Amino acid sequence: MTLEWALIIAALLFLTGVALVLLRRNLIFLLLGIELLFNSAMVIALVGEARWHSVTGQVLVVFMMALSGAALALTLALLLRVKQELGADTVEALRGLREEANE
Amino acid sequence: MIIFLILLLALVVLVTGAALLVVRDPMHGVVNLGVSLLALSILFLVLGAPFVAALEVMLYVGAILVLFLFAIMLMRTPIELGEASRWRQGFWWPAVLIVLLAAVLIILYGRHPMLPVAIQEITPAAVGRALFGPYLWLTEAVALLLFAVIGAVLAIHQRGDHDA
Repeated sequence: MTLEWALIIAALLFLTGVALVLLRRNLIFLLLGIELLFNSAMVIALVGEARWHSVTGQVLVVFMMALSGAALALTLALLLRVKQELGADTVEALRGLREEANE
Repeated sequence: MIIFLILLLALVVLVTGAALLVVRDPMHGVVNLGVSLLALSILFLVLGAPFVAALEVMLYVGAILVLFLFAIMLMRTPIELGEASRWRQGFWWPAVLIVLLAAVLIILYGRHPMLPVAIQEITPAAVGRALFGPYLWLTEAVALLLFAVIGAVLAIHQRGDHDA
């Protein structure tokens, strides 16, 4: 039963992450949602590892951690830049950016 | 015995996820994510991956969460309680999509795919042998990528004369 419940936890994490990315207005919560999505993928990789007794799952998770850290450092730097340039940290501020580009 | 631990972890993940969805202060969101990540590290230990469980605590709770805290501190958002909406404009259709996704997941999980497997622990030594054996070039590529991220972050924060 352990692996099934681990998969259910992964599904919960995935739902929460998608909801955070799609619904929240603050950009920091969007990034927290992306981290939850990465963690959901990690849980699924580890369930596969436990199912097939293979070391590849842990190797995949290590790479995923490095990649999510790299992506997060970049996006947080971009977020600080957005805050400096636009003075806001909401999705609506970036929507205004799109309207400027369309003109 | 182990099933109670797993149920408790699922409950913790559910509660912190729900709290993440509704809290207003980004700082509260980060703390909730930290609790969720600690629960996940226990789950990784249960799944027989002690190396990844330790990395989850060190890398996620120790580094990524601190990155979030630095970002919140540097953004210096004035505390505005009450008036600012926590949802973005026009969020009803994405909410419908999320409910549909939840329904799909429930239907999918209702089919009882039994996985009767005895979990055996895979030690950090085996992971290290794999990382620096068959995956050596990939590991070095990730190291190079992490080095390049430093330059990218510096480039994002550069305020040259051309855009002043």
